[in-house]
Amino acid sequence: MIANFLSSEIKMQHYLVLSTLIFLLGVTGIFLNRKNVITILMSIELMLLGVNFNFIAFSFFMDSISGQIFSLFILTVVAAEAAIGLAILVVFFRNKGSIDVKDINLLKG
Amino acid sequence: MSRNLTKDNYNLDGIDGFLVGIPEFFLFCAILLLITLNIYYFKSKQFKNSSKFSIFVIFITAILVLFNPYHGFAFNDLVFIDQFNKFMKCLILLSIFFILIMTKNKSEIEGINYPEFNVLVLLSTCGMMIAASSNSLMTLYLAIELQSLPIYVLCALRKNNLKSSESGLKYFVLGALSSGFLLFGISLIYGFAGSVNYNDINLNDISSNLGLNFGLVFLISGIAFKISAAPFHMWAPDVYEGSPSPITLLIASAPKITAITVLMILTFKVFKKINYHWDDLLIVLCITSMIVGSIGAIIQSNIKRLLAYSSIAHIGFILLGLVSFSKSGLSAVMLYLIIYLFLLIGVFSIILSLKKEDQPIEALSDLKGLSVNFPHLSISLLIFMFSMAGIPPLSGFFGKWFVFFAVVEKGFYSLAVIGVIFSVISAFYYLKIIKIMYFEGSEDQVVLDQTLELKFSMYLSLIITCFIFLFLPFFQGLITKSLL
Repeated sequence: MIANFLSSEIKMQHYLVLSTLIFLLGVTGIFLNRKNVITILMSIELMLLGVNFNFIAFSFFMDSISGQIFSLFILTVVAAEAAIGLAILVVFFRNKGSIDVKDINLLKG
Repeated sequence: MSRNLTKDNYNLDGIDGFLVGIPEFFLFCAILLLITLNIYYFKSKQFKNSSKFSIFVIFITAILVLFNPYHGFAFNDLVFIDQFNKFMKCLILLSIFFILIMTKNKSEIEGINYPEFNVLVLLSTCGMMIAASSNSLMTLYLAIELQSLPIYVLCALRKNNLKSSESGLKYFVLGALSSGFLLFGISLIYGFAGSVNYNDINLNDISSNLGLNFGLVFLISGIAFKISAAPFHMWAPDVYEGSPSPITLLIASAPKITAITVLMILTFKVFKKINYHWDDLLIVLCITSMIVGSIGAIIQSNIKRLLAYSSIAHIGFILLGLVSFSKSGLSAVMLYLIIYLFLLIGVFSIILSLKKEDQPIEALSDLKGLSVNFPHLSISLLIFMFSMAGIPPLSGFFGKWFVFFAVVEKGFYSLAVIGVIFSVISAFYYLKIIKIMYFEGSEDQVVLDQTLELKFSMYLSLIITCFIFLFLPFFQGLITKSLL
């Protein structure tokens, strides 16, 4: 299986492994990050880009166009999401004076 | 819902598709109009005027949903509408209607006195309606994003309040994470089942398909985030506590109805063939939600935080109906949603009508001596709490009864026993609220500020909660008609 995986031809599973790695990198970035909220926003982008990779690879190997259309939609939604996230972050910064993850601690229990 | 997959005589292609989407198009155009009116026309009493306008718009949209004769597939099978979707859309519109009328005169004290509130609520409603009628995973994703993006903003709407902006930030981060999960699941399902369209998802060689199973797990965890089922509930208490009360009501009602609708469609239509995989996931979500919701609420001292945990427990009971995977389970879930919606409206109409030092009340201890100062409010809250705990003959009892009935009918006896046990445990904290109201010394700083709309919603939900057995045939007739 490993020999098959390491053969020179690029197959579906290579794309799948790469996209899953990118996705997991994003998820761990959200959970392990202790410093800054901006890093969380970047990790979210990374997650969704991993998903995009998946869609495009599937679309290419299955000869189906809807995956590529889906990935274009995802790109636009991600842009809107990042804008809203940054806006909320600005509001939070005005009230708190800091965007450290450890300072988001008012609501708990 | 069995006839759905036969697309025999009503497939509206091309421009005819617009006929199916008339309510959504009307709502969207009205939103654009409302933005312009907010800027140029509503000079004085901006919030109230835009509020009146949006209530009117919601009313017209509900009429359009009810009386639109066209149904079926539209827009290349991206959208599908039948009686079931219409019923759920009406439920969503009903909850939005109550949120809007309850906020109309309460915006100043809640600190959300911006006309944007109405625009954002309507935009979110538009997303919910599309999500409820989606027939493709692509429509589903886009509609869920359209539903949740305005709600992130609404949570942080109280600009100068740290709690509000923190809850907005938390909801945003976890919501984005959940939509990432949802998307990853959708991408795997697209790859391994061959399509994103509900009609074309091919589940023939499922048994050995690891990728598809992975996709299902990710998809269901994405949706579980939206309905705040444990173990994906972490955001709910924080967001409920931090955001202004009308928005807490919004988060607790409409998006959850939407996500449950989506879950129903996925369970009963798309993944019908593989319900044994799907059922295992639902059972885990259901049991953990009941445990977390019942145990977690015991130590809470904030009203809205307590309601968050109670909503997690209620979601557990609602999922119980889905687990049973039968028509009676489906109608039990729909009845439970109606009952729970009116309970929420009732409880929040009481919370919204009390204030302390010109601030909305927050702590459970603010309810001390409510029975002495405002007897009619405390008796209503008592009835709502008894109903949430499931004491007959109030509405909550019937909701739980039908759900348990469906589960036992299918032979899941252990699940029903677990459900009853946690229902008893959760009665503890509902009774705790009643104890605080009736048996603890009085708090004199709490002032009553009940507008006409709040009175109306309180008494209406009170009537439905108390006399549910009179309305039961009516509701069940509606549900059976929509499930034909």
